[in-house]
Amino acid sequence: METVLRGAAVYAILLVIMRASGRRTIGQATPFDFVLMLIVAETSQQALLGNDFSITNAALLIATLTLLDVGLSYLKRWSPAADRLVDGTPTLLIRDGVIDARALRLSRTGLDDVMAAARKAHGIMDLAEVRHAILEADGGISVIPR
Amino acid sequence: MLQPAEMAAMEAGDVQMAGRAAGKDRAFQEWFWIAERCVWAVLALFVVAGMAGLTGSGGPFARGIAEAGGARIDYPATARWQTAETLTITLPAAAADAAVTLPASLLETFNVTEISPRPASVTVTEHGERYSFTRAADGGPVTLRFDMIARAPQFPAAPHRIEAGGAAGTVRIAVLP
Repeated sequence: METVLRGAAVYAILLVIMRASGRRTIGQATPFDFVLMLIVAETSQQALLGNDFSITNAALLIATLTLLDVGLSYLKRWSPAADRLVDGTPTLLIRDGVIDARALRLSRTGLDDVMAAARKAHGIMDLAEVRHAILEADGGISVIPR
Repeated sequence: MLQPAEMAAMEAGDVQMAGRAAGKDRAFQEWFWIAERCVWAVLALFVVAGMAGLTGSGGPFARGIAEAGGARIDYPATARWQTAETLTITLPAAAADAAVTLPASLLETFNVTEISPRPASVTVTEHGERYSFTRAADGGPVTLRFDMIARAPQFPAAPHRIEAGGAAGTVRIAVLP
């Protein structure tokens, strides 16, 4: 029982923390973000396993985490509110050429990131050629050119 | 199922072939979705067994109770390999003999790491190891705790005859890998 409860607790804590850390961490990991994820993974391992390094414990943990992930995916399909809470919603950073400075600031996204996405997707070199820029739920930036 | 000629055409850049080929393995995908959900069901059963304590480490069925005369033996019904477990024996006030004998079969399965309180003496017998304790003057119930670690997996559960306070009780312990 303890194994299952540990797995569920750590999964929930990591979900909340990763969600709260913002989409920038997921979609555009910097070296620092990568280091942070490594440390979090290492810290979580001890909390998950405790002093039990048996195969049974590992198998039960993996089964618990897998089922939680599957269950969460079904919950998101069933409940739009849960989907918004867990995955977030896309955010317009630029609308019809007008920059939403507040959205950029609060999502910790810079115009450099928008232009990088514009160059990669459409070969755009000038911000004026960007009609819309959307910060997607997965942390990526979609650019709609004029 | 994609034919070799279709695969070759796709690899050569035939975009229309790639589009037609996209739904060709639908039967396999349908089978795979069923297999996937069967695996989820097995995982769910495994997790429910874990919550019930059938895999050890807490839960309603993780521990067992055996009686040895008036003595009470609280033991792990399911232990895990190389994981610490506790065997607790409570001797009643009336027990004439403040001693516990752990059988050789149990000692082969488990390594006893700590005993609380410390035994006054340990004697090796033909049946196993006999731990003798000094009772307090008031002669009340005595709780003895044996911390142990499983040496190797053992399945199914093996019986072990523990002597406590002059009587014997049988415990059955499985050790999962």
